[in-house]
Amino acid sequence: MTANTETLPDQEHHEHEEHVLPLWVYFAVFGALMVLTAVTVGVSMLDLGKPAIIVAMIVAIIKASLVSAYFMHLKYDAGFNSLIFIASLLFLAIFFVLTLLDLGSRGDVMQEQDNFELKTKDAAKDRKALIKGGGDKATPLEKVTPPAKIPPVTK
Amino acid sequence: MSTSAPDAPAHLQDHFYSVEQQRSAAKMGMWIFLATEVLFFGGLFMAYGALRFFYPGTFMEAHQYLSIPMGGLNTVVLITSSLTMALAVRSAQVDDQKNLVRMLAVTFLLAGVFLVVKYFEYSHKFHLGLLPGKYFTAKGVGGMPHVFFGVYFVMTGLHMVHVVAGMIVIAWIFIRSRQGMFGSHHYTPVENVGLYWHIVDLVWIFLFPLLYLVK
Repeated sequence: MTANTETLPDQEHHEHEEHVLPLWVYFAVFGALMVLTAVTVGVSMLDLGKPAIIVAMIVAIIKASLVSAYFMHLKYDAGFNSLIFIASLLFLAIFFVLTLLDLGSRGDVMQEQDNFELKTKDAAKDRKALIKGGGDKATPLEKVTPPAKIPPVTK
Repeated sequence: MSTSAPDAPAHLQDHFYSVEQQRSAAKMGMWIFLATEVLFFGGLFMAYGALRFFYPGTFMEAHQYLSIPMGGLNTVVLITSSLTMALAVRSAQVDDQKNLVRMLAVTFLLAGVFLVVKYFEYSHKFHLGLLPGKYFTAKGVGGMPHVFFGVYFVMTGLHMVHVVAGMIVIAWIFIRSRQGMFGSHHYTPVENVGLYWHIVDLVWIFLFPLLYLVK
């Protein structure tokens, strides 16, 4: 085993074995985190309405970045560890966006369904009238089965 | 043992060819675990988002029953414990045994403070009957507060389980540090416990504004 060690690539990576940050970095990050905590609490006291959650999330993301870059040493670490972390956040983002798109557009789908049912009912009525009139264009009434209605979730 | 080089340190395992490789492999494993933690909590954050989307009024009203001073205090406690944990890792890096042990002890105690504050918060909620689902008995809260408190208890409860697990691993690292097992030559376990502790802090950084503050 020892014979191989010289040829293996990791031997060159001695620099990030010992990356000791100066103490002031830790206290500066801590100070920033405290200030940002005060900012979120302060902002929540103002009545910002809808943008409040966006401001709160931006502040939380800045805090999370500070913790992961300095306390968790990601800034000085092998890039692959950052990749793992960012990949997990990326997949989380996909999960959030697609789920919220679904929830947000469910009302429209429901409306579409109602409109469709209404239309098919009207068409059926027209054809009935046509049959009664006895014209030669009269087509036999087909049975229209509306698709099963999804129970609304929002109520 | 027989295959290691004669000058290999005791903590270098046979299947690694260098201490540096062993260390980076252990850290990568830890980061993969942290990624699964992100996804684990992510499901709950999504549940929060979906339920908030369905019942915005309920969330606005029910969240006022959470105590901002208590939640804020716990935020400060957790961020401070994150600092002391980071300082513990640094102490190991610079071979400061005394400070390493001291910082781990402080981190452990701060985690304990977090749990005590949480205990007071929870017992207050229990007392008022602000509980999830069918256990909700409080009167005079509009909307569907039992849904909000379901989200609150599951999210903070799972986070609290992580705090307890963190205390266990910190205690383990504390004992081994007192035995002088860590120093600049070998501090991967301290580092990995630190990473875990920081992710517990990260989750709280999002929980606090979402549950306690957001209007």
